[in-house]
Amino acid sequence: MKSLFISLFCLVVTLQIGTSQDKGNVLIKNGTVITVTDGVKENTDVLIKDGIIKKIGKDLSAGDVETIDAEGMFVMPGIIDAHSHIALDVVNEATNPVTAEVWVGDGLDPYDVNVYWALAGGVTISHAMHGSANAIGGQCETIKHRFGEEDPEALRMENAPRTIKFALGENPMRVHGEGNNIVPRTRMGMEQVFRQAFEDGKAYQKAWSNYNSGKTKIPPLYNERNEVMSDILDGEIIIHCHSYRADEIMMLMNVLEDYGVNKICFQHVNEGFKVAPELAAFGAHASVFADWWAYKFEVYYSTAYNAAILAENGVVTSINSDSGELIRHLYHEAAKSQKYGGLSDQDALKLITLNPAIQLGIEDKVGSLEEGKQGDVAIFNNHPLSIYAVCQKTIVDGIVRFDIENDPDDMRIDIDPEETFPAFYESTEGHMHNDNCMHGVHESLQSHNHNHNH
Amino acid sequence: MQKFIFSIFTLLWGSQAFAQIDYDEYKSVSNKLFVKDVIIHTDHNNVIEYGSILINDGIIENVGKGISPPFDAITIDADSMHVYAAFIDALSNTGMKAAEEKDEKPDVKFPGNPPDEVAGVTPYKEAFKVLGKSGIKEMREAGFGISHVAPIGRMLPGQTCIISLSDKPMQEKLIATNHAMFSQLKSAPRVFPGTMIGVLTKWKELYKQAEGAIKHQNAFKLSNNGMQRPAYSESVNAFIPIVNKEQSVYFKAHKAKDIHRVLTLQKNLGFNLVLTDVAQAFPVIDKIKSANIAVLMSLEIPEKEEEKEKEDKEESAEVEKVDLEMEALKKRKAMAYDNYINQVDLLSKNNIQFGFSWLEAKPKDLHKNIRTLIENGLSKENALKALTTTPARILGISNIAGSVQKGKIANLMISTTDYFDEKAKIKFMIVDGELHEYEVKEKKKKANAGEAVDIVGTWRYEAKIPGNETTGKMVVKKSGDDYEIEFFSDDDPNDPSTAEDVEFDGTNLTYGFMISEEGFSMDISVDVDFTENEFEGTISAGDFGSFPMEGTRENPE
Repeated sequence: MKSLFISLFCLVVTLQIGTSQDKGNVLIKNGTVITVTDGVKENTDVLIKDGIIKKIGKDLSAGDVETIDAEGMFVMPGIIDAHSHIALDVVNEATNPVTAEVWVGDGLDPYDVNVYWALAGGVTISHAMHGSANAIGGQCETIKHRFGEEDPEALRMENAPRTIKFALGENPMRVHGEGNNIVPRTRMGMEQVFRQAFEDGKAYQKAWSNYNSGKTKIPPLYNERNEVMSDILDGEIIIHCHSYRADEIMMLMNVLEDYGVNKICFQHVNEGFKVAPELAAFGAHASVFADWWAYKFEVYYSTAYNAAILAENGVVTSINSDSGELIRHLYHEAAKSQKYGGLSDQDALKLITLNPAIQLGIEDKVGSLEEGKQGDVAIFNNHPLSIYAVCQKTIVDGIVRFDIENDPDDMRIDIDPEETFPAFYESTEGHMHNDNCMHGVHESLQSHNHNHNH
Repeated sequence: MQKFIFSIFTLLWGSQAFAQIDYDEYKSVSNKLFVKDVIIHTDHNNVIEYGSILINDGIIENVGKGISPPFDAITIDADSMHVYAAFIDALSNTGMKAAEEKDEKPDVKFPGNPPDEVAGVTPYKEAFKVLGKSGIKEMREAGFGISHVAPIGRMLPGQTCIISLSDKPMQEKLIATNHAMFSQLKSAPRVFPGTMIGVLTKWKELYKQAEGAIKHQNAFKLSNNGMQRPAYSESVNAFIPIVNKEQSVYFKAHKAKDIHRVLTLQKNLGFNLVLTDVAQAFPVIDKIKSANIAVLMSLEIPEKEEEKEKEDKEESAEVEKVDLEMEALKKRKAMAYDNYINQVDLLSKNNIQFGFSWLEAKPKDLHKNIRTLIENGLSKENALKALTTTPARILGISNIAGSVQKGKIANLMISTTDYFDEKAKIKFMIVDGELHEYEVKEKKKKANAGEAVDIVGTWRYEAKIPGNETTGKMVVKKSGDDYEIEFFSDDDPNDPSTAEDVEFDGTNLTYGFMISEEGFSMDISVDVDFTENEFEGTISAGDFGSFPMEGTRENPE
């Protein structure tokens, strides 16, 4: 009996991993459908074909398509986390105040079991970000949680805009100023680093336009960093900036205004409530924690009303995790905005669906349940803002990637035949501490690394 | 013991210090070798039963049946043995010495912009210019005749070379200089590129800078008047043959994720790639196949967990649960093991060109590991192909190596029986016509099967230092639990030496001693196994290697 059980177990694991494909078909019947953009629809079906939401309505049928009975369940758009570091082998290239040229998309880790944990919390998309060790830290990657795929490329969200990590304040000052005794050592220095990087990008653009127009005959020396700075100047890359204090947030908006750059989402932005009208006027977005602060000096002046204040002031606001653990209950974090600030159900759920989608520039594809959008869905047994909500199924592109009814103990993909027990710690080594912004930064920061270095 | 010391010093300083004659200078009496009545595996598909091979001046002059040897050929006694083309090591660090790895932060003002050398960006470094002797003997003993050598370093260690694994001087060993560029995803310590994503960025940048340099150089050739000279950058220039596809990149990608990353880099830039030192190919087979990329596998075999006998005992419900979890884990590990074991055969079945590289795997494990793969489905033909003809083709040396054919370099491996047989031992290696013979010992069955031996008494020993065999008397005494050992060399029996750090476990004896002469000192270590009246093992002298040592009991009862 024992061996039969094991064979069945292995069969399940193999099937789940072996039959992954890009797009799927599924019909979700009779659920309470929370569209986020078009109200809540009782007893409604959602039909996904070839990974796209084909139809939302009553009494739908679709031949022999896999059907999920969602009677008594709540069907909502897949949750989106605008700030995360899961599925990454590298988070920080901390060697330079500006490393715009590096890209965490080069270091995606499809084997990270944390992606599956995120699915178990209904999260279908996360923004895999570079860390905050540098003023300009490197390009990020918007990933779809297609857990089971082994090719790192398969995690990428097709046609998602490019994004880049900026960081203000203590982290870059500490790494480069204190650590290496170079600029920036102060917040004044931070501003100069940004200005210099944009100036270099402008000069590089000019050199290439002179060459391309025939004004000069020899091609300028190719430079990855200035290529990226140039693309930021051209509005091709959305900036996501690690920030806490109101003064430095204002500083960066001033710098961006000088260079004609306006695509920016401030991350953490704990003092955002102080400058909410200014953020709204600039068109800047904000991605915050529900109630997490005081892990270092610059993060003491904070409030749990931050998300509500920002939202009420017209700032596109999201709630993020920046953590491999918190990513599993972002719906609880969104619910806190009702306790602190009294947001409506729809506005609270927007914080973890449509708004992060807008911040990542993918709101035309995901973030709400609408016909024509991608089939990313989370199904809960209770209303997702209820403390009793437990995610039952998570669907990415019409493929069920998490099912609480079929949730084997060992969901790891890459097994080391020589591993020793306990296998869990082996497989998560290097990832357990990955879920923070300062991962992999050595420079005299040992004492800080045990705290949350967001 | 004096005699022994003398031998070591002879090895050390050769003719300059002591000996009057340099033995290396002796020429063989003939350049012709004749291998007679052997089973010749001319390549992975063809065998000549009981044929002969004539070698002249390092080249195979004739292969086949009914060849009569010229009067001046040296005949090699290899009756009924199996002859193969010596194996080709498709990439290793043979002959390279690793620089000392420092973990401390380099003394660089701007860690974001370190000198190329500190960053590990030295694609211009040439392996052949720093080629030494280390590892050559070991490769040859494992059956190899040719090595493709990569320099040691970080992301871009430099230019490879192809060498013959003979004992000839470096100039005569070289088959190709700067054959390819070697690269890996290895970052620099705390300077840029300090991570794998930094390495990939730097790689793309150098490649694109080389594309720009080509444009600049071409424009400069057309009309240089009034134009700035192309800047000289060794690193960028090293990428020009890569951009022009005149040279391939051997990129180390050990695990599946790294293979994906390197394949993506290749797809985006379009250079000629050979995936190198691959240990986990099975998740990437389809992608490798569709990219049509040759692969060098690292011949490592994961250790298999021994199935333990289930214990018969009453189990409580709690124990049962834990055991189920363990059983499930074991099952998954066994499945993972199978994936690793079967992947080489899978490459073969998918018609992916593959050979073996030896950056991580040890050549001495070749015989054991290739046999494991064969037991798990790989055919002997495909195994031999991966060790000979395929690497020859990947390296572009099929015309001169990789099979036993007229006109090819006389690189032969002669095995006592079918090489892929468990009992097979390499008896001769012929490299570039240079003959190396190996002592093949039948494994002596220990008379006492590991039973403890009382070694107290007097023994005769013999240390087989090349060119100088040393004999003498070894006296073992016991005081308390410790052993005391004294040597009396036959050359100078009145001046005994005393062993230090003596350790004896019942059959195995190890000890060390130091010799010093003229301000030079060296640690010598001895490791021998005893049976009732005999011992055998090795005597090691630092970098000079290990030499056989054996002995017998004097006046056994």
